[in-house]
This record gives sequence, C-alpha cells and structure tokens, in this order.
Amino acid sequence: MLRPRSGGQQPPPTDAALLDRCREGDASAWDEIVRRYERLTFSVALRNGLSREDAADITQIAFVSLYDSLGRLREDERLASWLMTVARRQSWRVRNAARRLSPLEHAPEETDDPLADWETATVLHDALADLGDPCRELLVALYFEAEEPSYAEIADRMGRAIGGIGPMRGRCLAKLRQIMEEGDDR
Amino acid sequence: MTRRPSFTELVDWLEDRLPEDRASDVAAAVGDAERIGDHELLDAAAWIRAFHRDSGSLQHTPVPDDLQDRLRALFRDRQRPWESAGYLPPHAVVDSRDLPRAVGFRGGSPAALAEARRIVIERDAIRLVLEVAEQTEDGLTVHGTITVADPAADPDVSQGRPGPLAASVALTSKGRLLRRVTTGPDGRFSAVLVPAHVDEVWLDAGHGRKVRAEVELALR
Repeated sequence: MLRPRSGGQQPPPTDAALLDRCREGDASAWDEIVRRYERLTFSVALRNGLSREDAADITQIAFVSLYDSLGRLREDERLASWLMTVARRQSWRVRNAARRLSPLEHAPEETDDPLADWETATVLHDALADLGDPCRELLVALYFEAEEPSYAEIADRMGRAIGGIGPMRGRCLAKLRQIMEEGDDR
Repeated sequence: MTRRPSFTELVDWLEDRLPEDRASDVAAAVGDAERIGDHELLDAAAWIRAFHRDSGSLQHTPVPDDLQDRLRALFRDRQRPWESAGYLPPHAVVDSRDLPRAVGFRGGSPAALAEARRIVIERDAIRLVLEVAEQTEDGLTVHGTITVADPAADPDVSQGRPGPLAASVALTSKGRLLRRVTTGPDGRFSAVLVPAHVDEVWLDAGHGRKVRAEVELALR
C-alpha cells in the first residue's frame, strides 16, 4: 500500500541506494524494497499458474535469495527484473514438481510462458524503477494495481491534488518512454 | 490542419478521458498524421497503446495478509543470531524411518517408505506432524499440521478462539533461518522448495509454547 506523502521531503531513494543501506543492516531499507516489489514478485508466480499459497512461498524464496545475494548483486538498478526472474524460475520448478506429483486433472495448467513477452515485461519494470518515485508509484497505481484505484484514491494516498494526477501521469509516461527508448539505443 | 495534440492529450484520448470536442480534434490530428506521415505523433500513440497492453498483461495482485510481515521479518531474523530463548526440547519425536506404524505408515514397502517421511513432534498439548512429500534437486515439499492434543487445556480453544493454530514454524540449518511459515486457521501449512539441509524445526504456538526439535528433513 502506498503511503500518503507530504510535500518538501527528499526524493525517495533509488533501489540501488536501498540495497546499499540493506548491506549496512538497515531494516527500514529492506522494508521499502519489500513494499516496492512484493506484489510484482507474487504476481509473477501467480501468472505462472501457481496457487496463492505456492506463490507466497515463491515470493519468500525470491526475497531470501535477494538477502543471500546482497553482497554480490551487480546490477542494482535491475532489481525488479532480478526478482521477477527468480520468481519465474522457481515457479517453473514448482509447476514441474506438481506435474510429477499430481493426477493430470489437478496439475497446474501447462503453458510455455503465460507472460507473452517476458523481455518487455522485465524491461518495463526496470524502466519504472529507473523512473523513480513519485512517478513510479503513480504509474504502478494507475496501470498495474489489480484493484484499479480511482484518481481520488491515488491522489489521497500520494498527498496530491486530484486535478494534478492526470497531467502528472502524462509527464511520467513521457519520461518512462524516454527511459525505455534510451535503453533501446544502448 | 488541426492543432497537434500533446503527449498527455494523446494519453487522455486513448484512455477516453477527453471532452467530446477535443477528442474529435485529436482523432482528426492523428488522421492527418497518418496521411502526411507524421511519425513522431504516430510513434507516440503506438507507444502508449503498447504500454496499455503490456501493463495489462502483468497486474500486481495484493499479497496475502501475513506475507509482508514474513518478508520483513526475514531480514531482521537473518541479521541477528537465531533467537533460541524460550524454546524447549520436545517430549517425543517419532520418525517414520524408525517407527513407521507409530506415525500411521502402514503396509508400505521399504521403497514406498523411502519416498515419503512423516515426523511427529510432541510437547505437552502441542503436536506437530511434518510430512516430507518429495525431494528433488531443488528442495523438499513439506506439509505440516499442528494440533492441540488436549483442547480443554488450551487457553485459546477454551476461550473459543482459534487454537494455537496461528502458529509459526521456522526451519533452520546450522542456526541460520531458511524458511518461516505460518499456519492457516486449520493449523496446516505447506512449503515448497525447502532446502534439504534443514536440521532444526522451531515451533511457536503462542502463550510461550515454543518447541525446538533437532530433525533432519531430507529423504536421502
């Protein structure tokens, strides 16, 4: 859940800054990473055909892996796709195990990859991380949250005027497009 | 020639958020762009459409209530030595490897018994049954059930609340936390891809009822 924010604060830390703070033992930085990415990680597991219980396990495994990898994670700004990839691989393992154990009619549905374009999904989420907050928070709330919150709810959460949400959304999408196109050029 | 729409107006237009008259203007401008080959405008509209499609393909679903707490606790638990205070050894640990019939394994061949494992851990009124259903190179599949052997003696059950069933089970190896699970209201839990080198099980059933059992879960 996004937290209401008052004006005049420092810009929210990047993923890389949060990971650095985790390496120094800062639990509040870890909490922020959990807040940013728990839903994404959980959703990748769900989209791979797992039950909510198994998807919760996969999410925990992904964050345990993250903790264990803090000292050797190289591309800090690619945390989103790193977690997505761990969740996807582990989900495959659970699905494969379930197929071995279950009668066919109970086995998770076989799909090669439920995310039609995995690379696009990971590039998009890394670009959202590059975009940073508050734009990232706004676009995630508007376009990714399964509950589809209203403009009024989002404005309330973010401590902004409802009239500013539409124009801000346009600016944030334009920035996101620029980041993704610069990434394509690299 | 119609006025060129801004990027934000294009977004509004594609999301049906423009007043009718302005929506018509933007539609006309996009039509003009197609006629004259204004790729800048057309590319912007194509990018927005692709973004709508891609964002719709991976919606972020809310996580179960207790998952965020578990994910947060994971960091704190790993930052400090495992807190073993208050945990007591079990009165009994019965393993299907040693006494298959005592834990309900009946009539199984030695090969079948080797493919699964049941371990019963008991102390006072609390009984934890662990079933190791499978071991692959990725880890173990473990199911657990916590029951109160004597509901009348249990403060929660006697007060009409769900029993000691909102319990926490931690699996560790050499004192390092590998997995923490919380039981559902029925006292059951399942965990997949559990590292096979678990060597201790820690059960916290509330009211100070903490049991620590040295148990290796691996099937082989």
